Amino acid sequence: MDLTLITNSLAELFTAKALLLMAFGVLFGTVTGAIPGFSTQLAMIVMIPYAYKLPTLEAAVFLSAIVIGGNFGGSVSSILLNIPGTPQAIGSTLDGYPMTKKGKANEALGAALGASTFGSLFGGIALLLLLIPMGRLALKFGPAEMFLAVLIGITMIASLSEGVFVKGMLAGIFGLILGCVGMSSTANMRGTLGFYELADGIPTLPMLLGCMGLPEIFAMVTKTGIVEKNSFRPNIRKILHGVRVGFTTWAYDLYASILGTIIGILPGAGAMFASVVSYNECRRISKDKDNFGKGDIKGVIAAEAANNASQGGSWALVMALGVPGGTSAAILYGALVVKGIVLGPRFLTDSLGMGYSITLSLIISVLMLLFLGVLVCLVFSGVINIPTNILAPVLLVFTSIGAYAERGYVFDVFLMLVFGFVSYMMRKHNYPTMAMILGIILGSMAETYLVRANQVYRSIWQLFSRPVFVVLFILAMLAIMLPIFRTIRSKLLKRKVQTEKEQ
Amino acid sequence: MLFLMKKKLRIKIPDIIVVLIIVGFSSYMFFEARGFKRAALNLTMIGPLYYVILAFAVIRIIQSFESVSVDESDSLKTAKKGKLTLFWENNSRIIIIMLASIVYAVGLKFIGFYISTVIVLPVMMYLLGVKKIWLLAAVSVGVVLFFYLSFDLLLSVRLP
Repeated sequence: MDLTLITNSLAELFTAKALLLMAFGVLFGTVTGAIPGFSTQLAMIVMIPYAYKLPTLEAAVFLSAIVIGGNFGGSVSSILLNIPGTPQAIGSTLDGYPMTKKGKANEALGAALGASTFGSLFGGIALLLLLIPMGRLALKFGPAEMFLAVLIGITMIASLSEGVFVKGMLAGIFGLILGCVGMSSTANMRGTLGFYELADGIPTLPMLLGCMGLPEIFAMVTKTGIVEKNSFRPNIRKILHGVRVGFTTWAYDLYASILGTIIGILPGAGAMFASVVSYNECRRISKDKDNFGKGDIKGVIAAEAANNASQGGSWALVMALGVPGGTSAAILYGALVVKGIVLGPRFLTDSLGMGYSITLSLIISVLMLLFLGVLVCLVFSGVINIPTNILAPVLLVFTSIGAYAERGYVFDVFLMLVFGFVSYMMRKHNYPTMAMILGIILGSMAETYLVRANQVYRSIWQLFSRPVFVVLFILAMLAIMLPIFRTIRSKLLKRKVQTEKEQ
Repeated sequence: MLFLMKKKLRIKIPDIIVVLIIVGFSSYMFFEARGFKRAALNLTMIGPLYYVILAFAVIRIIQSFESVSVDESDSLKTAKKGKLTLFWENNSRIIIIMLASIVYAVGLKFIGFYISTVIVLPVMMYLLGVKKIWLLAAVSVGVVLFFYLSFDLLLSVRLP
């Protein structure tokens, strides 16, 4: 690590223009992220014409700041309305919204902000220190290793099915099958019902808005307000308390950030995957895992820290290898290519200074987020006091346009409605829709890597000669077996207590 | 025999409908993929998952049969009659917003964002109980203006 180069890169960022661009990027990303359906990618895309007019470094810094803001902004509507503002904020709904219903929206928003800052800082520092080795590590992940990583994520379906095992498995496996909709590796269109709009698979954002947003809107109209009339007041002290908790629950922050950074460097995995896997893993190691899903602040921290930390990993991959790990990284990659900068191994030798500048800008943007995020929380949190007979129709308009905006197809609005009606019905009859969503997200990834692994490796024994595969295989087996052992053990304990009582 | 006569089997129909939707679409995917030339490759993941889903569906269908006593069944029927009369009262708001969401999507397709929003949004709010005309107008115009200024004008995002 060249300290002189890092100091010079830092100096390049301390210009009024660069700092203003970072502040604007963070604010724009946070506000658009808080609007249901306005994904971080969309926020980046709409700002690309403006970014093209900027010098290369400033364009990269500006787009990176939007990502930092968007990653946190998505959690605002997740927590307040149970509607993920961005796909990666899906994990924050699990405990964030129950906290809002308990009257702890301020603390939940603060914790999300604190954990987002921790995660982003961790990801940024990891990127700074491990830019080159992290890129090399990504090369060790072949299709078989990626399949195992996805398999570990899929085991979350079992945890989401607690108490409703059969329904959960039905929903989760149905999700995995839905994840295979679209063009297959043999160029056949599967499950599209003849709609060419589904050729690339089920679009994530309309699906998410349908599965999570619409049932929430439908349920909302049965009540007069999300919380008791005017019982909620945005409170800066409570938000700051939440921020402190978000930082001081450091064990979860650290674990989630490590997971997030590692997942970030895996091509195709992305922030959404990081968020759900980390939530599940933190739940697994938690002493009071029963509180997860019922408004536990640790659940918000686990999802947010990982989602934000994954950015560092994703940026490392795109800078070191030129492989965009996710959509945001792909947009950054495209924007820089237009500017004549080609990311990849040569970027680290020819333009390492710029690499460090982009990395350091992530860290500065995060520090800006800490202040701007509090303002956004204060402004947006009042939304839950709006009567539902006004809020629900307005949200319906926002979700419809959110579903439409990413690809520009009205078809996506209809698709959102289909998912919305089915999910509402499933939710009413106790089917965990989150298991279906997870299945859809991971299904296509799992199939792609499974098919590739099948084609690349001739025998299963060949796989066991790969150390990363062996480690992941053991982890995957543990992820599958541990919940089963735990269930058997708790059942045996219950039976033992019962027989003791009878005696 | 007397025991059997006093018991009746009751099926949770909505539960069965959800199972049928899941099995229906999964079967469509499975058989469609099986009909392709390189079926094995297309079924790498769908194949095993389909059989697992069938197994869980059978278990769920069995679970959705409830054994209730004749007296209980009769009281449920009477309760159902009462429920039917209360159905609209309990679900009218959900039905309104569900129908409105379909009308709005159709509106987006054929008459565009601005006109459909200006028509559907105030009607939806009115049916949900907002009676103040100025509030209906202010919210509708505010939302349309927000989208026009932010999406259309500032961000150049094309609206339907």
